[in-house]
This record gives sequence, C-alpha cells and structure tokens, in this order.
Amino acid sequence: MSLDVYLRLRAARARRAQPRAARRHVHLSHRPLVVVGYHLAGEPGAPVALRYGTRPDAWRTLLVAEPRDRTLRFAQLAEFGADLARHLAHFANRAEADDDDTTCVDAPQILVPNPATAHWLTDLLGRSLRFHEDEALALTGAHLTFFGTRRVIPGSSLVLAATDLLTTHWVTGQTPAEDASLATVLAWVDPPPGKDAVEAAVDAETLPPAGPVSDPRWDRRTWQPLVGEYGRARESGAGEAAAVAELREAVEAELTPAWQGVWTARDLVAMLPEAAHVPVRWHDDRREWTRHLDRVAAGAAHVAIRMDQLRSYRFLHELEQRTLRLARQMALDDPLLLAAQVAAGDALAGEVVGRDCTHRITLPTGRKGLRPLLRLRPAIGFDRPLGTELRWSDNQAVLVTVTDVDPDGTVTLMVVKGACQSVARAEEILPPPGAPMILISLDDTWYPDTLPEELPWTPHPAEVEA
Amino acid sequence: MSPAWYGVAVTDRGDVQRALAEVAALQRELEAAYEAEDAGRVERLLTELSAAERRRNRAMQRALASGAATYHAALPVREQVARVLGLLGRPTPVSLIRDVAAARFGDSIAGPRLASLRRDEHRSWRSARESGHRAAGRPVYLVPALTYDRLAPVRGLLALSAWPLEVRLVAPASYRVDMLHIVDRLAAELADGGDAPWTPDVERLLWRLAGTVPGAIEGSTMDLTRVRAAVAAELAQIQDADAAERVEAARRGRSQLDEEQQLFGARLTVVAPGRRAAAR
Amino acid sequence: MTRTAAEQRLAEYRGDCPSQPLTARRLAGLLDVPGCVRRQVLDAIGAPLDPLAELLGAPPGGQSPFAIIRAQRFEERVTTGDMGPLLMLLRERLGAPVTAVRECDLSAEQVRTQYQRSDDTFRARLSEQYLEQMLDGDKTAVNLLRRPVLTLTLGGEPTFVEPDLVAYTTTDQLHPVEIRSYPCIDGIADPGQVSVTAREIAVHVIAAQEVAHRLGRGRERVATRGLLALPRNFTLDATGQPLDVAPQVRRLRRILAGFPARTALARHVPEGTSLPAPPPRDAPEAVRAAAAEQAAEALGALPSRFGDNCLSCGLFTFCRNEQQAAGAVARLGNAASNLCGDVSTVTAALDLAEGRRAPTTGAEQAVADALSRAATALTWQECR
Repeated sequence: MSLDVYLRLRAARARRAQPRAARRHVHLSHRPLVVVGYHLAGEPGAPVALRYGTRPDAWRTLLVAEPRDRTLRFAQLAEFGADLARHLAHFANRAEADDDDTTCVDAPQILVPNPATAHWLTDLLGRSLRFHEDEALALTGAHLTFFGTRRVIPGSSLVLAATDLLTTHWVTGQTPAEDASLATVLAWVDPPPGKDAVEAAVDAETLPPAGPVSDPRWDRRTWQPLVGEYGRARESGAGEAAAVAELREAVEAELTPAWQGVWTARDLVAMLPEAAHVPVRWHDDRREWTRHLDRVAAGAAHVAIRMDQLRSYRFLHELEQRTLRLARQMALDDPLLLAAQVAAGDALAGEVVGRDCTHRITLPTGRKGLRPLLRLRPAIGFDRPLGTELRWSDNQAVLVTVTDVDPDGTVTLMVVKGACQSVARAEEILPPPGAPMILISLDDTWYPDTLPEELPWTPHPAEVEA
Repeated sequence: MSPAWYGVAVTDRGDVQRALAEVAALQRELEAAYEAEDAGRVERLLTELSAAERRRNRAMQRALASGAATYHAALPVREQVARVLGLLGRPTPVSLIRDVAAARFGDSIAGPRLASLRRDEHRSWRSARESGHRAAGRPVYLVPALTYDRLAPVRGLLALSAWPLEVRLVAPASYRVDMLHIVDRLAAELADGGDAPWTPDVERLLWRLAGTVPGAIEGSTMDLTRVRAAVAAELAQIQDADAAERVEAARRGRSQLDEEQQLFGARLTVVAPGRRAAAR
Repeated sequence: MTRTAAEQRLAEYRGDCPSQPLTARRLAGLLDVPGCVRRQVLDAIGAPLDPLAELLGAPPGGQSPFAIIRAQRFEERVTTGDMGPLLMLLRERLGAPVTAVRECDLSAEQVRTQYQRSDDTFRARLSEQYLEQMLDGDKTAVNLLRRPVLTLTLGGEPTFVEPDLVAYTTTDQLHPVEIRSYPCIDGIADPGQVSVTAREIAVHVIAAQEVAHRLGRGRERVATRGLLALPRNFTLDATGQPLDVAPQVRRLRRILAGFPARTALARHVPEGTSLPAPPPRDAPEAVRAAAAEQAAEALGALPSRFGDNCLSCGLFTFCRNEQQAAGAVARLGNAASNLCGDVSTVTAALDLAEGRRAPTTGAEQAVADALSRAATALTWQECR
C-alpha cells in the first residue's frame, strides 16, 4: 500500500486531502433518503431524535422527548415508519417485461454520516422493530433489516456512509482512526476558504458529533436538564409544549452539522465521473431490492437469518472474496486506483517498445495459432514470474502471458486471447510501439459482472424463523 | 414503565394509546385523500380528525389527572415498608421492597426517604426506651439484617424487629434462601388473590424473580404451582445448611449482645472475618 | 541511578499533581500504547490523564449521565439481594451447581457499613482472606465474591484493581465475572466493546493469579475463562457471554513484565520540570494558562511513541498536535510509520520519494525504493 502512504504524505505536505480515486465508485441516487440521529448513550433501542429527508433544505425531525418512554418512542418510530414506507413506495415500479427482467427501475438509497449510524439504523433499530406486535412497525423493521443485510456487501450502494464515501475517494493527512469523524474528514477534503485542512480539522473537532451517540458533555449540560423539565411539565400538566420546543431547538442545533455534512459529502463525490462498473453493481442492488419487495408482498419479509457456524464461515469467506474482486473491478475503472495496483506490484505499467502481430506458435493440435507478441519497458520494476497471466486495462478482452524478461527489465508478453483472429485485427486492437499500456494481473479473484442467483446465506423457506 | 418515574401513577394508558393511534391513522388517510385530490373525502376526514383530536386531548388530561395522589390518605413510608416486609416474611433488599410496594400496594417509595429510615428507626427505638414508657414504643421496628459472623448491619437489607434473630441474621447462603422464600410468598399471594387489580403487576415482578430458579418458568405462561415446586426443590438442597448456620449464629448473638445490639447490630472494632467478634 | 535517586526524580517530576491508583481500564490501555515512555512515566507516578489533557485543550471527556444511570441500574438489577440473575448465568454458562449460592459483598459501601472503614488496603486484605478460603475449598468459603480488591504490581509498585465479581463455581478454579451495560442482541454483543472488556477482565485475571501465587496456591487456580453479564436485547434482563481471555492475559503479561523499572524510567525524566496540579475548571484563565504551559513543558520533555491506537489515550490531542507541529510521519499513523521506518519527517520522506535527496543508509534506500515506486506510478498515470 505504498501509494496510500505516499498520498498521505502528500496530503500532510499540501495540508489538504489528496484524490485517491479519479472516478466515482458508488451509485448516487437522485432522491436519497438522508438520515442522521442520536440514541441515548448505552441504549441503541432508545432513539433521541431522527432527522431525515430527501433534500438538503427540507427535512423532518422526530423527537422522543423522554427517550426511555416506550409509548413515546414507538409513536415516533411509527411516524418514521410511515414516512419511510411512503418514500419506499416511489421505488416499486418494475421494468417493462422484456427478456424476463422484472427488476425495479430504481431502488431506494439511504445516506448516513458514518458506519456506526448505519449499523444502528439498519441492524439495531431494524432488529428492535422486526418482531413488534404492531404490523406497521414490524414492516418498518423488515425494511431496515433488509438495508442492513445489503449494507455489508462489497459494492452495494443501497446504504452509504458519508465518511466511507469520502475516504474511498480521498486520502487525508490524519490517522485512519481519525477518519471515522465526518467533520474532520470534510475539513481535510473541503476546507473552508482561507483555512488549510489542519486548521479546519481543529475547528471541526469542536462541532457536535455526527452520531449516533451525542456528546456526553452536551448530554450532561443541556439535554438531561431539558428532559427533566419536560418530565416535570408533563407531570404537572403545564408547559409541556414549551418544554418540547426547547428540546427540539437543542437537538436541531446538534444534528445540523451532521445533516449538512452528509449532503456536502454527497455533492463532493457527485462531482467525480461515474466509474464504468457502477451501473452493473447498481443493477444487483436493484435486483435485491426487487426480491425484497416480492418477499414483503408474500408476507415473508420477517425472516431471521440464523448464522450457524458453517454459514458464518462461508459468509465471511464470501465477503473477503468479494472485497478483493471489487478492488480489482474498481482498479480497472479508475486510473488512480490502477496506479495503486502498479505501485503494489499487482499491475504492470510501461511503454510498448516492440510489437509483432505475425508471431505464431504451434498448438497442441499441430496447427499454427496466431499469438502476437508485445515488448514492454516497465515504468516500475515488475517481478512476477514467467507464465503470469495479465489482462489489458484498456481492453479487457485481451489476455497475455509473460514469456520473457530481459536483463534490462524489458518484458515480453504473448497475447493469448482477444487479438488472435488475424494479423489485421491484431494491428487494429493492440497498442503500437511508443504507446503506454497497463496490464493487471489475472487471478481467481475476479468480480463477476453478475452475481449468482442465490448467495450462500440466503434463507430458504424451510429455515425461516418468523 | 414504572409509575414511580414521574411520581404519578398513570391509569388509562391503554385509552391514551388508542386515541393517539386513531389520530395518527386519520392523519395518514387525510394525506392520502389529499394526494388523490378527493375533496369530498378530505372534508369528511377533517371532521373526523377534529373529533379524534378532541378525544385524544380528553384522554390525556384524564390520564394525567387521575394520578394525583394528593387527596387520598397514603400510609407513612415506614408503614408502607413494614407492610411489604410483613407480606414477604424475610429480610428483603431495599430495591425489592420498593418494587413490591409499587406492584402489590401501588405505593411509590422514593429512594432518599428509605435512606434515612434506618437511622430514624434506631433513634425512635432509643428515645422510646429512654422515656421509660414501654407502651410508648411501637410494636414493630424496621431494622437492618445482620451478618451471621459479626452481627454487623447489612447495607441494603431490611427486616422486622418482631422476627426472631435466626431470621434476621444472614449467612452467606441466606440471600438466596430468603429470596426463594420471597418468591414463594409472592406466588402464594398471587394464587390467593385471584383476579385482583394488582395481579398483572405482581405477575410481572414474579416473572422476573422466578426466572432465576431452574425449572420455574417454562414457555411463555406462568404456572404458579410449577414455580412453587421449583422453589421448593432448590430450597431442599440449600436450606438446611443455611438454617444450621443461622441458628448457631443466633445462639452466639444472644449470649454476647444486648437487646439493642441484637436489633440494630453490634458496633464492633475492626476484626478480620472468621475470628470471634470483640463486641462492645 | 539508585532506587532512591529514581524515586526522588519521579516525585519531583510529579510535583503538585495528585496521584491516583490505576484502574483496570488504564492498565488494559497499555496494550494500545506499547513502548511509549511518556505514558509509562505517567502510569508509574499515577498521574491522572484526563484532567491534564483537558488542561492542555483536549475536549472534555466523561461519560454521558444517561449511560452512567443505565449502567448503575443494570448493575443493581443484577447484583442486588441474592444476585439471582448472576447465579442463573453461572449455572447456565459456567455449569455451577445449585448449591453454589454462598455470597459475600466486599464493595466499599458494604464494607464501610460493617467495618467502619473501607480503604483499599483494608479491602485488599479482606479479599485475600476470602480468596484463600475459596482456594482452600473451605466449606465456609463463598462462591460469589462481589467487588473484591486485588493487588497487581507494575514496574515493582503495587496497584489496586477492583473486579465486579469473582466466582468460585467448580471445585478448583476461580472465574472472573464482569458486568457491562452495552446490549447483547440475539446473542451477539458489539465486538469492539467486548474486546475492550476482555482486556479489562485479563487485568483482573492477572491480579487474581498474583494473589493465588502469593498465597502459595498456583496461578492456574485462576481460570482465564469468565463470564460477561450484559443486558439482553433491549431490556435490562441479564444474559451472559462466556469469554476466554487467555490471549489477552498472555499479551498483557508481556507488557506488564516489560514495563520498565522505575530506575529506568527516571532516566528519561528531565530535571527542572514538573507537572502542575490541574486547576479546577472554573479557575481564572491566567491560572489555567500558566498550569497548561507548565504541563506542556513537562510532558513534552518525555519521549512519546505516536500510533493508530493513541486515540484511546487521554493525551491524544496533545501528542497529535505535537507530532503535527513537528511534521512527523508518525502523525499519519502506523502504516506510514512502518513504511518510512527511521525517516521520521514528512519532508524527508517526500524528498526521498521524489528524488530530491539521495538515500544515505540502507534503511533510507528501502524507504526511497518503496515511495518512489508509488511516486512514479502516480506521475506515469497522470501523464497518460
């Protein structure tokens, strides 16, 4: 990961974040649901407030004035659930039924400040609602849980955390642990005019936390006394509305930086051109969303996935594989990420210094096959062994193997696929001498364009636990 | 949610919940009708919504008002505690006293009141004795449970002075033995009480306590006979050894301590456990 | 340096700053900051980290009152009376027999009520007596000891730690039991929080093992397998997660054993500087500013070792700002530090990477090679 360290050093010198990616590797919805919120410290089942909306200038903030009061809590969660259901209803349109593709034309997208909020909203709150006796709340829980299961799949864009959005595409001059704070990462990526990132990050540290846990000092000084006031007002029957208004004002002030931060992060990433494979991965998201709607319609959305040992082992293994494959797919789409692969020795970059489009070898069948040769002078030393298979980044149909390495480092590559039909085609397709070329090593960790129908952890009807 | 929280016992919670849900449902219907541009339906829903909101307001006001306990006579705190201990019959942790007081008798006892209780009781006993008029004293005092080895007061555990010293002394296994007896008493109370207004609250409490007894709770309904049988089974294994320790400790206590010390605990100099206490 | 001279130097350095006993959490935190002399000196003299950090401008920490209340409520729920919920967990998860119900509460409040004193030294003595009975398999021994005080040595000095409980449920081993209030949802608790707790449990295990050893009973009498009691799902009912902290015990033992002797630490302590007593929050600005300056000078004089895990240390902001101001590579985290090795400033590293400076040592050569690969790959890509 030398490029990562190098970029971090450059960020420190420039006092500004450095681009890590030249493309946008996530799908961005035109109508995302941004959610920011707090829960009571130590009690993820007790939301304090939730602010959500589909536009930066229009939101709704739900407030649980006494977070430990279950009646108030579930009443507010019911409001959230109703709004969520209304929002999700906009994504029920299926495609025209051609070639059996009845996937929804669009899927919902949830944006949150950080992974902790995503975990709280989609895993914990989802879990707390999923088995509720009230059907509407249970459905809300099922929806949230669906988002939770998709969230962890590498390459999925159904749930995005603003901090991850930013750190995927930029490198800051902080420690990775500090990158968990949305405010400081934004300070590095987009410092305000007149300030450099270091100063801006110090300022950002004084902002309220992005959630899902509030600042303990704010809890002590501001929130707890107001909750007490509310309790007294409710008990005595007077001044309740005023107490609620004060609570609301306090919490709105705390949540505003996180709210604005998520929208800003989204805008920053939106400025990057979309990577080529994004629509393909989004198609997978849409397909899973469609399946979820089918399950909801069939009344089977309240599934609990029992992770026995075998399943969880396979799940983790699958996640690891997908993470590797996704990294390769992203590198193919993005020159900067490709540069990282080159620096790490997983890709070969150089200048074509010779080409023979007439080269032939004798195949096992006895016939002669066209196998053009390319000679490449690497920009950076490449020491993979002979026989290594590589794929050309600019035309992924072209596969080569390394057949020779000269003492001066020049690499001889034999094309085995993608340009072997005819000499004329080879001359058209392959780069001429003097042209740059990057080839990425080919191995089993290849992210397929379409995923298998059934993932190893998809529950079967027989295993469903309501 | 415990009623003691707001200091107000809230009744009619179900009514308030229903009224809130009704208003919310009508609001959703109203929005749908508005989006569908159905003017007639919107008109009808507006009227219904206003009525539902008025019902909601009344329900909330009623619910909050009915909690005001100012006009009916409540027992003094010490009587509330004594009543609970009388029911349970064994030294009881303070937090459980409060839970039983709330569940069984609807009393909400605030923490700070209990904290000063022990000192107040001791003072009251002393002044009754010093005044010389035995009759001026109360029949029963609230006293701390005492440790079996040094007869020092146990923080957080209350008993009745009328109980014999064996019961008021706690040996290492006594906490469990006494809790099992308490669970049994609560189960018996529920069985006798039938369908009383306090039944659901006491049941909830018993559910929590009985959950720690193996075999007491199976499935999702509570069977009082099974609970009592499970309690008896565990007691059978631990009760006798505990009783023997308490009896021996009581014998020592009676021979070494005066009446005040036997009630409120010995004020001892610092000694290590296991050795004979040097009582003053 | 002689022992007395070392003690004198350390005492002078501590100055007016109060000393407090180290908690299990702080000791466990040693795993995050290995080899940091600044922390080692402060730990050796028992200096409180948070007040010093706050004085130096770190955002005030502390726990939310809601979290504190919930933790207290859950602990009370679980330990009041007969500790029934814990008994249930011990039976279910650690296989305790039904007859294992003998309990003793050595918490400060209970001990004060019964003995009219509750200092740590006294409670430690009481705890050892009860533990000895437990290890003897005494018929009168307790099975569940609440809040004992155990002694641990750090750099030759004793320090007290207070586990939530120690259970003696089988015939020959003591088990640690800890109570926390973060939820265990569907049998799974937040792994990050569990791993923090596991390290604290490891501190308690080591301390209990030292007691067993001192009593001549052998460290193996204290099990590394213990119980973590947590609220179940979103309620306050208790559920338990058995934990084996053997790996954490091993790592912590190495760190504790490697903790420098006081004579070694004193060598790093400069003469002429000392820590101030942290003034109260409402003290006049001038007083706080003067104290801050003194603290910055005293702390800055101690060598530090900055890394990714420093975020959990109270002094994080101070050390981070120091590294930032010095243009240090370490400020960027462990990945950068590890790659750049001895090349300690950002400027030097980039000069090597971009060919403005020739490497003079083998180490510099390695760094130059790795970083210039990256630089070349980047420029090559940008020029395409």
